Amino acid sequence: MVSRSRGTSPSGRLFELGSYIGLYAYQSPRFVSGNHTDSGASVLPRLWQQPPIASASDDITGLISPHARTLEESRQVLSNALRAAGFDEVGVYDAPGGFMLVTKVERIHADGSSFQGKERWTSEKEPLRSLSLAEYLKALFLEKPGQFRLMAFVVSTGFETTDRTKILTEEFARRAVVRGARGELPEDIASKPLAGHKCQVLIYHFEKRPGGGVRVLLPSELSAQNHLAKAQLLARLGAGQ
Amino acid sequence: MSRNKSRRLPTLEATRAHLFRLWMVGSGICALILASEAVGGRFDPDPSEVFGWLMPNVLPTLSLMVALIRAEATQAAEDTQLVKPLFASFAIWGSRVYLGAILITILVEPFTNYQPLELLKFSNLWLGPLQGLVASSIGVLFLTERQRERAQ
Repeated sequence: MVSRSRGTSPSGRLFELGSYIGLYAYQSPRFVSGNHTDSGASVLPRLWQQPPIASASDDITGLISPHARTLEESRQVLSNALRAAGFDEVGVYDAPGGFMLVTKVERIHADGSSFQGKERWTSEKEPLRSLSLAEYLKALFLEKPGQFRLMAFVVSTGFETTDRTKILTEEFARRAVVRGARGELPEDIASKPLAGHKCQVLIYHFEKRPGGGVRVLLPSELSAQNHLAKAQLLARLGAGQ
Repeated sequence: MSRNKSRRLPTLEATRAHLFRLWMVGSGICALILASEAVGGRFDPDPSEVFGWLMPNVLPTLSLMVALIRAEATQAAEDTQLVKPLFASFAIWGSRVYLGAILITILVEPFTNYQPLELLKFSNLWLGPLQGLVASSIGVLFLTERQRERAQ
């Protein structure tokens, strides 16, 4: 009744819309329980039923297994290495029998090394800062708008095969880290032994086109190992940092 | 006194030739820079889009000039018609400013946050009105009939 009487004016319609959104949020299981089910067991959000085809991928179980016995320990090894490499924010997702860590999309140089500072996390064009003639001519005639990278670390019993018909979009990739959970794994999977699980890294290498638009490079010119090395992750993962 | 003054006035023919050379050189430089950028892959995947921006900015005026020069190519009679210096200067300096604005738009792009094509399209905001002013003055000079034709 209230919403009907108020719905005649613009502010009334806004109120009505707000009421519906509030009601939907209240009824939605996601909002009711956050990352918990009714039984109290914690669940992680699922990003993909099957990951889209990656620019590069590799099995890095051998790098993780010497430093972790459980899935939570493996998450810590991965998270610590990522944090040390500058990835302060990592999204945690569900994967079959395990979990998946997704990094923020970072801007990279052509050789795979990361940009520094705030330029690393922006998708905007970086203006020329040096007044050198050579730099200017290079920027005018040769500069490409940029390359970007998203990394997904999948620790699971399945999920290894990527969906070759699906292409990851830049927009989805940029939101991926935001939608993920944070912190430790839920209790029901944290204590699972790492044995029997595979750890795979999926690299999504994007190239911004000068005329607009972004595409995933399939395949990337760099191998997954090269990407990890250039992102300062390979040595850290090997050392269990 | 009046003879000396008339000597200093530019002829219509000379003003037209000056403008034609100016536009050919200016447009040529702009086209050359954009073509070099296109070869470098800066406008991929559709390099034709950038020429779709340049052509409407220079081609209508150049076409007008070429059409008139072609029409008068076989008329060997000497032209004595004079143009008021103020108007000739306006057309010439207007053209310089306009072609310079196109060139600066292309060259300044690395210093901006805009993507190459974004900036070029955005520049139509100031190039459009400028083109209108310049094209109208050039139109008057190129569409004015020569004295010899009127005499006939």
